[in-house]
Amino acid sequence: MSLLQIKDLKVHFPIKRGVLIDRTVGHVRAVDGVSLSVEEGQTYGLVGESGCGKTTLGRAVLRLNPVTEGEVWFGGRDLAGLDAESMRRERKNLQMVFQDPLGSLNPRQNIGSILMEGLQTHGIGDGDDRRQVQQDRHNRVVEALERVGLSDRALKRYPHEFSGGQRQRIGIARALVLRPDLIICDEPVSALDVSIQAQVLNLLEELQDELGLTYLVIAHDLAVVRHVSDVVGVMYLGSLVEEASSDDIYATPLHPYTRTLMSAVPVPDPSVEDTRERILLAGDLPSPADPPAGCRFHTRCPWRQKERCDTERPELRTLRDAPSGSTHRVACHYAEEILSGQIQPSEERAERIVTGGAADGGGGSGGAEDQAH
Amino acid sequence: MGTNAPLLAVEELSVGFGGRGSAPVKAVDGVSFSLEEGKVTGLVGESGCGKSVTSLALMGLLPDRGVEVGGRAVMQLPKGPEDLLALPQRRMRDLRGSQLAMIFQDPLSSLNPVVPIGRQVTEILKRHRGMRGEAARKEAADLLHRVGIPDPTRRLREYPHQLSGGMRQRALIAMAVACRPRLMIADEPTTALDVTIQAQILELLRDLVTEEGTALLMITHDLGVVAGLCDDINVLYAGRAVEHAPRAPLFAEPTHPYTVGLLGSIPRLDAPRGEPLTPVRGSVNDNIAWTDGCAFAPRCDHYTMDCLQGPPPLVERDSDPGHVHRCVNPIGHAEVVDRAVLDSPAVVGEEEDR
Repeated sequence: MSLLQIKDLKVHFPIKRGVLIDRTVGHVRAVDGVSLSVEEGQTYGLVGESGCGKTTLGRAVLRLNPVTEGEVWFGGRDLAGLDAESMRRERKNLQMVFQDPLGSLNPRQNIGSILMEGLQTHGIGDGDDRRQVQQDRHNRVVEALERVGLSDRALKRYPHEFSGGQRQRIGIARALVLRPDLIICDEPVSALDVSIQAQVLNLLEELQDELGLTYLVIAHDLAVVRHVSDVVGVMYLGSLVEEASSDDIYATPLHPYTRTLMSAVPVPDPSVEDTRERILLAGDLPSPADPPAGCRFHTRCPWRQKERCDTERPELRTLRDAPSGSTHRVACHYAEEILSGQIQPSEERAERIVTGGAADGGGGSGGAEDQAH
Repeated sequence: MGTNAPLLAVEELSVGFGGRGSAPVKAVDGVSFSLEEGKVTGLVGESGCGKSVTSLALMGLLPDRGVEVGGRAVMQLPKGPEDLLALPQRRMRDLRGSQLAMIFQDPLSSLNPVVPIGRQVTEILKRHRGMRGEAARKEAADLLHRVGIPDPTRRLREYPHQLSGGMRQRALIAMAVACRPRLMIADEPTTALDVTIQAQILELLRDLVTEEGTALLMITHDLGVVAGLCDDINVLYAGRAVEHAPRAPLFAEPTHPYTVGLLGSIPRLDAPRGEPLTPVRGSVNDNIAWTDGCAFAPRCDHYTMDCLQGPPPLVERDSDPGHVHRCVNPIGHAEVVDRAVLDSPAVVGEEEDR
């Protein structure tokens, strides 16, 4: 039974024009028909480049953005249909960790007050009188702080007194203190230094093991997402293009966009860097206000075929010859043919595919190799 | 190549920021490296290690007041070698853009938002190459075309906000290569960009170095970028180089515990899943002064009492000339202290008291 199920979710933002009267002249289709489900105790990683709608999707689940269409099932209720007050109450079960750890903490509130706020809002705390409730809340706050590796000395301090990594730990503690079932982490480590990043990633994993949390992790870094997630979904221009277990997605990426993304992630190992295939895409992301017809990726896809890619929007599906029960789904008409090599990347764009060695021969990098051996 | 001396030899560069009534803060504290034509040298480190200040000092872009710059940076100029740090501002203005060029991290804030791209590119051509009017515009369009901007004549009339992030960075690179400088400094050129755009920009930089024989100083925090692009790598920590090596030995056999920690912190796409990362504990704030010992000691799993006996010198490895580290107890020399003890929350929490 999945904890969170999103069905055909759409979030469209109106584009307004006009001086006196706001006319709606169009819509930015930030999220345009995404369905996914997150299993209990697992981590679902959502990856994509900026502008693909991954953050909007995460916020729409919590109704921090209005949902245009679709359903969000959580604990037997459709969150998209709840009124504001019921949604507010429901949020104690769904918490969010934000990207910018300083920007998401009130600079004038001390840490104790920041962490206490959620408990007060939701009226959490056991006890017969006010004092006992206060004491219970205090204990919960300290427990959450200790879980993320801070101590109760932090309670009376303010956000600016902490380093970036510690602030992110506080952000995680704020989510934890309500003991939610699901935590949505929106770029939890992208603002942090490399060594701090790893500490926070390890912390998230430990907490999951101890508390049985479910995560929806949203990030742009495929290596980070693959490291923390059980299932990875790749988004492009408002829709999912591929979804698979994180081992499968690395072993056999099916969608051309996933292959491109994978090939663009630098690996800290010179021998891998020199030999791996790099697919360079032409141009930039098309505007989500006017997405291309047919497959969203066809304007940049090296494997693009005539007709069908331009006109028919591919559905997320399993491979035709996949064993039953396969969770690897892809939104590409020609996934099988591309995998088997039947369709080769088109001539004009093939030059943008760099197979290692040939391109790296110059540039002096060869010199470093010579010295090494 | 031609000459024996490297294109730019930086020796013992130090930058201190003075504070009223307090001792100057040493952002860069004795960094030495050299740049050669057609090669890429990397400066790697986390925020606060002094990598950006190094580049600003070399370009002469630091303010005059409150900053002390020491050391030498000798560059082979057409008229003979000269120390960049000792040149007067007037001379530096002639060199910047023509001999040295810089690509900044944030392409939006380093372009003038109210001036069309075309004028910003032709400005350099006018200043350094004396080009005017139609000739300058044509050259600017050529430059934009070379860095892979489609429809350059239209783009020349547009403003920075009309360009996408990758396109802006390309425009900046076009400005940097306008006068075919012999030395380029790229300060985190891809940090603000998406990974597919990053791949495009790195490919472009790689081509420029190969075709033009430019020397490139690549400043980044991303070891993955370094592994693909750089020939020589300097790892900086708290203003000093802690390890220097050609890229193959640096990644194959890193010796300084900090380098090892950095490599252990990065989730790798090609690594088997399920293995926890092995990060460096603590944060950059946990330093001690280099004069007291190794600044990295408080975060190091290998530290001994020897580490606190004054600043550790740079040592060359016996087995591997060219591989230098600043460590008295390098990896491969001692057993790792039990991580489990050191990673306990109490240790992490201690820095709250600072």
